[in-house]
Amino acid sequence: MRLTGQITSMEKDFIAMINTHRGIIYKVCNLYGHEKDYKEDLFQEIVLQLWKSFPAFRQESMISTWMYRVALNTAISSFRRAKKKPESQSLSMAALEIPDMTDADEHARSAMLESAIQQLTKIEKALVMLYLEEKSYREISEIMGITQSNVGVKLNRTKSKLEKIIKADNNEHR
Amino acid sequence: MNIDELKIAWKAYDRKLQSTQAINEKIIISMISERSGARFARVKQRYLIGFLWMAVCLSFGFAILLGNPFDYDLTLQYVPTVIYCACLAILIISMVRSFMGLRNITISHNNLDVSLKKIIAIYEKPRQFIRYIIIIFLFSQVVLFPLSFLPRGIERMGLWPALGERLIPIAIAALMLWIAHKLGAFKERHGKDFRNDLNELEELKALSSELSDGE
Repeated sequence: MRLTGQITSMEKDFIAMINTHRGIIYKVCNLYGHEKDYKEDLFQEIVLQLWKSFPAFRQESMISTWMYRVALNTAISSFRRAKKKPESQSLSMAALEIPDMTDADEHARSAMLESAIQQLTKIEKALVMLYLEEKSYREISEIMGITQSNVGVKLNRTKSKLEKIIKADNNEHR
Repeated sequence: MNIDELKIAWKAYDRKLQSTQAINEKIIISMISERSGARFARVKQRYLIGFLWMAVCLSFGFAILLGNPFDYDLTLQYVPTVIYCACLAILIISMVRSFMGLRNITISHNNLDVSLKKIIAIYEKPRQFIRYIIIIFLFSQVVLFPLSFLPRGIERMGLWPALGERLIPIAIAALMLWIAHKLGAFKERHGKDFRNDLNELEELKALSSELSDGE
């Protein structure tokens, strides 16, 4: 891909797709990143991974399913980058703002949601995110690479864990 | 607050994200270029240094095989140098394969479970393999290389005195390796990276078993 010059039709399609579904990438970055630098780094890495796999994407699955799969894969398997400061702040990132969860209209609820989700493991975070997105067990199974029955078992466990966390948080705030 | 209320909060957050300004196309293009460029430049530099170092070492091996600077008389005496060259050649091939693999890495078609297992395999396979190669390499250089001078010693002083004499450089080399090991020469050089790799590997294994758990 060139930095300058004319944009090809594939690049245009890719950019349009990223923009249509930018919320998916923002959400994954916010769930898996605490610091601004890391969120931006992760955003960039997810876009790169999507770009690399874009030519092979044949729309056998829904775009959102494919994007979730790539974004979650990248977020979960990118431990090393979390430990290293970026060598230099890129020019492009200066122009990108990843909205925080707590910027949402219902501030108190959003803060509670963010705090509760951050206490979950990486896999549980992915499950809760897909559950909140109202994805079917079949879609969750496709994204996570586990059986539908396993999705059911894990989701129930994760929901119970989340309820306990919320309960504890509620008691703390009273 | 319960889970249903969290769903409301999540929807509010989703609405907020949908209303954000579209990302400028130049930003998307530049972030891909920057990230790919920086990553491959780093990887290429690391591999280039590795290739150069190994090429220099390999050229020493070939010089011994072709020029016979130690005046070897028997084919057997060349064995340590042949092992030395073979180990370096295997390491170079392994590096080339890893480099090609890195260039082709994409996680698009793998689901989470498969990709985690793939990453674990990438971590474990070369490490184990390289460890064996390095053990063979060190054994050939510490033990077999000094023994390659044994035939000349036998001619001069007989079998047992010659063996005794050969044990001196073997013992010195082994002692130096042991001291270097104790001083942390092997551990400290890339020790931190190695520990990070191990921690990451453990975390990956935990995530993988977390996914498999319940099936």
